[in-house]
Amino acid sequence: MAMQRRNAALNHYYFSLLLVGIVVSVVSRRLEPLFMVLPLLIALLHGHLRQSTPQFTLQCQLTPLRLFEGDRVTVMLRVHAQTALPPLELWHFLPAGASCADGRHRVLLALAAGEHRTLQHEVTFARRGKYGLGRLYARVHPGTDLQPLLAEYHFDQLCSVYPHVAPLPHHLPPLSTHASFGNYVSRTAGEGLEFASIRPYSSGDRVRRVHWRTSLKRQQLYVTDYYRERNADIIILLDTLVSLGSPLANTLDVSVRAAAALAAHYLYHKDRVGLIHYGGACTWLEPATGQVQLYRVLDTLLGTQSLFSYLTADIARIPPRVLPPGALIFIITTMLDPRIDVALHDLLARGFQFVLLLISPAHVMATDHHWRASEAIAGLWRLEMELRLAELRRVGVPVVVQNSDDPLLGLYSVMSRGSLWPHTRQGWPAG
Amino acid sequence: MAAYKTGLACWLSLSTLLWSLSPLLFSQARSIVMLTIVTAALALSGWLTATQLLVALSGGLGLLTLTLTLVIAAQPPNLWLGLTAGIALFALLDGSQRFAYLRHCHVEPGVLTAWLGVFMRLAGLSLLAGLAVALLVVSLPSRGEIAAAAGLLTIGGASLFVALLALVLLYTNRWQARD
Repeated sequence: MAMQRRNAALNHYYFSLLLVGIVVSVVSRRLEPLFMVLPLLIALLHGHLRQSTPQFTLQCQLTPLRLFEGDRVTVMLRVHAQTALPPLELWHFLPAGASCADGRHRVLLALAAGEHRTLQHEVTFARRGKYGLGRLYARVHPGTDLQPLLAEYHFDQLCSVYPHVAPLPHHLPPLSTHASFGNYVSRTAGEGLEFASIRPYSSGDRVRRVHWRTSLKRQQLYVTDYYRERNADIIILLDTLVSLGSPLANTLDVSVRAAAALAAHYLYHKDRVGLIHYGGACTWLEPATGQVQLYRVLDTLLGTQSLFSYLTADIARIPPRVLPPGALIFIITTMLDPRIDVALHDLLARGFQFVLLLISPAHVMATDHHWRASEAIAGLWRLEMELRLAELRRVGVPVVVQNSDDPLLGLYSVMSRGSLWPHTRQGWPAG
Repeated sequence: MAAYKTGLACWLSLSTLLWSLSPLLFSQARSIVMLTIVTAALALSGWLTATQLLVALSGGLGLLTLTLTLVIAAQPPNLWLGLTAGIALFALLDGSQRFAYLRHCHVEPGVLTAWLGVFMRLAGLSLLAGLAVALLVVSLPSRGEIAAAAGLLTIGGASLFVALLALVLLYTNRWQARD
């Protein structure tokens, strides 16, 4: 990398003082002012006439490149000086939203010829997103620092910062399951891993299922029965119509974190999880299971943003493979945009079971400075929401309103009340 | 890191004191005291807030104050005083520039030694140059025939010198831009 020499502002100051000294010396007919600026003259001449370009190599390594909010990326810088290196300033430029958690990302070092130095610092990100790291600025300060050498190095690598996944304290089993491999067991025997019973052999049973110990004891063939495995379809519908708050604390980020936590929880229990972004236009991710699906969901959540639109997305346009019958739908919304009501009515009319997770803007945007005003606003918001939710509650839709930092805190108590979802297909015309 | 910062701050404080208080050695007139205080305040605020312009202004004001003091007090020529004050001014300007880096950067071992080495080298060169000029100045009055022309030569030489220096600076700048 070629280095460029630039004049520092100090040159102008030195030169101005030099002129002042000479003029004052001439005017006052004294030699002292001339002697006062003599070191500045020497420094100027030394800085401009003695110009050597030091040789060094620089390497930058970032690990890991996929992490969650609050996790740290370790940045390792290796400097090898081929010639003697005067004070070198290395600055690892951090993008907005990133901060240096440990060590310093701006270092000043001097090396002898052939010397190596490894520097390390850790970077943390407060918010999900894709961040470009690895841009380095180097500035060598030879001699008097009047003409520093500048260079820019690009070791650009993209860091994916996924939303924070908080573990749920309890499992929230869905009401309806279907035959597939999963963590739920059926009451009927069939293919699976969970032991059900031992019964006498009948024609057609597989030999590998013979329970030899019992068969030898009873002198008759017995086979082992297993329970059938089942799993469920979980759909997370994320309302991206509106986002309130600052870039660092907003309702959309809270919603995204809740969605990530739910997806990770159900995928861990081997359920199929899908994701729908309900904005001006609907985008979705088909339900699937496994670790790969978790990263698909997280990657999709990474780019979630609220885009202004006059359009109203139609639930009916979402294909059945994305919104399968019998799926449990978690709707995460602030209900600030009335267009979400249309979606809720549609889902109710189509007989879907859903849980409404209400993100409170008053809670997300609460400030310590005006806590009385915040409390009053929160109270008003809650009253308004209660009015709007009364109809949904009347038909038995479970509603969880955010009361703390964790919007999923009240989920377990709501979902463990038993049969919550009546058949609401009747009397609910599709929006 | 804190030790480096404290050390450099002490060094800068000492330079500020040496630079700004030197006029008080020759005159304690109220106006001189006021100018001295302003010079010190400018220097101090300059390196504390990393504003090089303030330090340079302090340099200019201090230069004027010291010259004024010497003229008012009608002191005999004192070249050592000029040289000492000059090195203090250089230490102040150079040190304030270095101090600005300590605000943002983590300083690895060996950096301050390199800085100090550069300063010592330049201070030594300044002393040598000062000595050479002083010898020249001392030998001039013994040659009475050219003493009358010395004033004119000084003015002409100073103008020529400034012009040459400006040319050197311009030339080296273009040279680097081409590289």
